[in-house]
Amino acid sequence: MPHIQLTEGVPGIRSLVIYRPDTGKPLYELAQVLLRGESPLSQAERELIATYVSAQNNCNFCTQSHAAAARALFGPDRDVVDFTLSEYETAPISEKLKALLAIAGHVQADARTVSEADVARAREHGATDRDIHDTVLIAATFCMFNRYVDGLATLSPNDPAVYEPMGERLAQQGYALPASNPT
Amino acid sequence: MRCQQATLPDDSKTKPAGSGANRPVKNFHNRLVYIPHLFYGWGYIEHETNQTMAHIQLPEGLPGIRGPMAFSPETTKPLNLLVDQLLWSADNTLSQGERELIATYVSSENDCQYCQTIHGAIASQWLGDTDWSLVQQVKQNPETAPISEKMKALLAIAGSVQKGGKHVTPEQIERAKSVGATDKEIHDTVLIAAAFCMFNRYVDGLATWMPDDPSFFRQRAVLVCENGYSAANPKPV
Repeated sequence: MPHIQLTEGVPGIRSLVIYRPDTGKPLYELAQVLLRGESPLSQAERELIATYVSAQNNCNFCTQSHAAAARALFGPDRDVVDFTLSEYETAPISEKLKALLAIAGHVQADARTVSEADVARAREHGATDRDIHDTVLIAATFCMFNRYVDGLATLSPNDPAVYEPMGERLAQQGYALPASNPT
Repeated sequence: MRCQQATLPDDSKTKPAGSGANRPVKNFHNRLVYIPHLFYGWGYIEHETNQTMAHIQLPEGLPGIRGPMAFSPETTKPLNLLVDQLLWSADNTLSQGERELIATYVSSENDCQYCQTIHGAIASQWLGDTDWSLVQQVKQNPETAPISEKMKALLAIAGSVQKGGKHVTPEQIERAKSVGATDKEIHDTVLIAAAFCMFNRYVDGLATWMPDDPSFFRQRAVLVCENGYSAANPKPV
């Protein structure tokens, strides 16, 4: 049961932004620009970073919903999502993305531990300042969303089937603030 | 003067290994820098220049979060709107000073020097804490600080959020409600704490620099209190 009175039956972040849309609005705008706006990283890659950080934070709702979005965006290569979640260093993803996931992992655990060697490795594989910036901000942002969702004990379905349509919607429509009175 | 480790008045709480002073940084040699000093006029003052350079090329001259914010104006807009709504808006049953205390406490727990100093200065500005002593006491131990029982209970929740969302217990929520905290106050506490787990990581994950002069933070605090965050961070020219 959530720690505060939220709309019944609405899961995760959606229940929170319906509860307080005036903070929900900039939160969704941030997710939209960060995960769907201009970036040298593809939308699928950015969703993968978000998923990885959410899994490291043990946030079921965020991990499942963003994994579903990443699978929808990877399309025929959707299996990379689960390979990455189980062991990204051996997953069929680019060396650049592996190096960026290592940076994201440091940001999640303790941002002060992002080292020059971590950054140099990413650059060796072609990462630009923008790639590194976006990776750090995505990782940081999901350290917020994960805590927001779990810190208030929001509804977090276990059944992966619940997240499939959510992932399709996020892939096709991006992050749009849910109506405050969902029907 | 750039890139120096802070020598600000700081709490004496023991920091974990790998904290600010011990972080892996580009170590420049200790050097003499020629700077104006308020009391001694122009002169050589030896500085510990444990310099850190940011991990990416950021616009020069902007400390802490303001470097990455100028680098990425598209993401900065919603970030500033978020803190304006969450911390600066007067439309809240928690005062601006109380909300800034939550931000400061979480930043201190994350050992983010820039964030805890600027938000500590802003909290002090709102609360009339001219010598920053209240903020220091809250950072050291909220339970013994001269703040309301409600604020102590909310800071306990914020401290759990800093460790991870699942660390918040029903007992902590019960305690907060028993001393008068509303659902919205609990919500805002959790979101402020979560948001600063983001801001702190953004600032430290890119290894930004900070000024070592407390007056910089005092002046900046006045500006933010008067105008809000969006207005205090205009688009770079």
